[in-house]
Amino acid sequence: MEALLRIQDLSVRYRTDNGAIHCAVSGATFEIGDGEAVGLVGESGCGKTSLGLALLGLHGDNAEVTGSAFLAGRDLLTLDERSFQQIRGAKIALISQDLGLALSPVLRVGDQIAEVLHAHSDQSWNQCRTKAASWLMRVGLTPARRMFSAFPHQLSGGQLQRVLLAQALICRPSLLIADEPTAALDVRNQAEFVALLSRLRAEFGLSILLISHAPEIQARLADRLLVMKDGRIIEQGKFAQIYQNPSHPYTRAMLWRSVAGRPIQSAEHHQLIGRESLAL
Amino acid sequence: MTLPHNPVLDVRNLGKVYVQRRPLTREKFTVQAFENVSFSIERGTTLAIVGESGAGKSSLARCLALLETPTRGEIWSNARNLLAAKRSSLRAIRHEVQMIFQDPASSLNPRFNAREIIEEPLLIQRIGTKVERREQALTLMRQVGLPPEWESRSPLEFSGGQRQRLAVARALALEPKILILDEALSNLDLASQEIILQLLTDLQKAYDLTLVHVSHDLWLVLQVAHEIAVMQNGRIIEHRPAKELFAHPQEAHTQELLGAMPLPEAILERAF
Repeated sequence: MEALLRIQDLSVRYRTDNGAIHCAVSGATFEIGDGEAVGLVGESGCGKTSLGLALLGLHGDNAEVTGSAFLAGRDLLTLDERSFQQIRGAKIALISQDLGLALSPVLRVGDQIAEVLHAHSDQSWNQCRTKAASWLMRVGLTPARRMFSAFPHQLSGGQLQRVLLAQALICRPSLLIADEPTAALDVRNQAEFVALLSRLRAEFGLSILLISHAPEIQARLADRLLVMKDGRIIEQGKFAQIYQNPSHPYTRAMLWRSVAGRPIQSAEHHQLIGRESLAL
Repeated sequence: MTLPHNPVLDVRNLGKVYVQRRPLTREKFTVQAFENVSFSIERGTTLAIVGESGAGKSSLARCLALLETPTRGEIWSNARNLLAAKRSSLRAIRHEVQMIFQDPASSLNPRFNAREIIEEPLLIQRIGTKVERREQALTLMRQVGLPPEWESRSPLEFSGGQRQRLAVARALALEPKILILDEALSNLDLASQEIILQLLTDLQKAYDLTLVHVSHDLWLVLQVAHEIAVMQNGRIIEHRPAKELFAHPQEAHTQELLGAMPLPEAILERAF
């Protein structure tokens, strides 16, 4: 698989108000192949989101980013703000965890989807709106006409997350950075969202960097897994291999749920939910 | 043998209706958050209330914590109906029930430091002197595994897991009998979840604490709950011991919830 994104020795340092320097990401090196989904797990505060934001050039003025991040042969970290604007949203898209903050409360969701395409193409506003409506259908928000003119507060969490996905994918980016996309959803919405994302991924050959602390979500989407601790990637490899044979106790703590200190065993799953899940 | 039936909380036919007005027309309409909810919780046990978003879990939790007044029904504790109690006597009851919320970043006042956050409930209930309150706050920090040296840090300087521990310390300050957690762990990674679950289990043993977990995460709930109540559309549709419910879910909705998000093993085994 050819690498779409090649990250070498990426570090992100923040200067805090009192002059101290905090190293959020140090020396991250990994690749994301064309059409590959790479999962990123780690405890809160370990640098997962900082890494994602650095790839989008959204790290803020008080951050210093070093290393290199080549997307299709172009180093993202050397781009100025203007060139980054052309890539952000068009080549790399983000869906973030905070549904409430991601959309404007005073604009109709259809227009907010169309807006993204309008900013990145020379199509007319009407063409963009038509495309936006078709994307609403693609992410399963029907009837599209009613959904198009809805305001964010009229939609449920699961529906909002689909709006964000349509917004992220309407320009057909090659890389999607999904930062805890299911954290705000209940289990059924999580399952539906994951199914939708894997379908669209297959349809468009999308590469995904999936930031999530939920191993159930990672198992369904991620081909490979990166495990991050204190800003460093301490383990990476195929999901199945890392899950079954974690080489680091931290990895095990991140991925395995346990009852009273004892991991929930495979046999127990079968007894508990094996019937339903295998029948899916 | 039947155990002596001594519920710390006995809920009877509880219901909550929200009255709202439509924008512009101001026309009134009602939303039934939950209805006809009855259950009792034994002292020192853990009850989990699970369901999809919109099932009425959080409204129920807020009513149990006396943060909102149910429109009908009774909540009995120590042979007293809490809903019939006078406002003045409620203050004394309130400290027996404490609640921990989903998002510690917004439930903890950023203008306060860690110690002030833990001290505030004591201050409101006018317990102890300044020195005693500080002493107790530092003891609580130690208990939940936060170094007391961090007493003057702002909650913003803590990681997600640490913030939730701070929220636990604050909730424990008044030595409650019942602790209600509304999705309190669902934003945390598994290791942080595990640490706080262990902490709560230890506290439960030490103080005979009764825990109510409100969550959509069935795997998390399986780790700790003695009993599970499944809610759908404002009603409890199934309420049984946790092991039994997992092994033999009766209701179709419960089976659906259990099957929605299988653990990684189930998926990996299907793939090979």
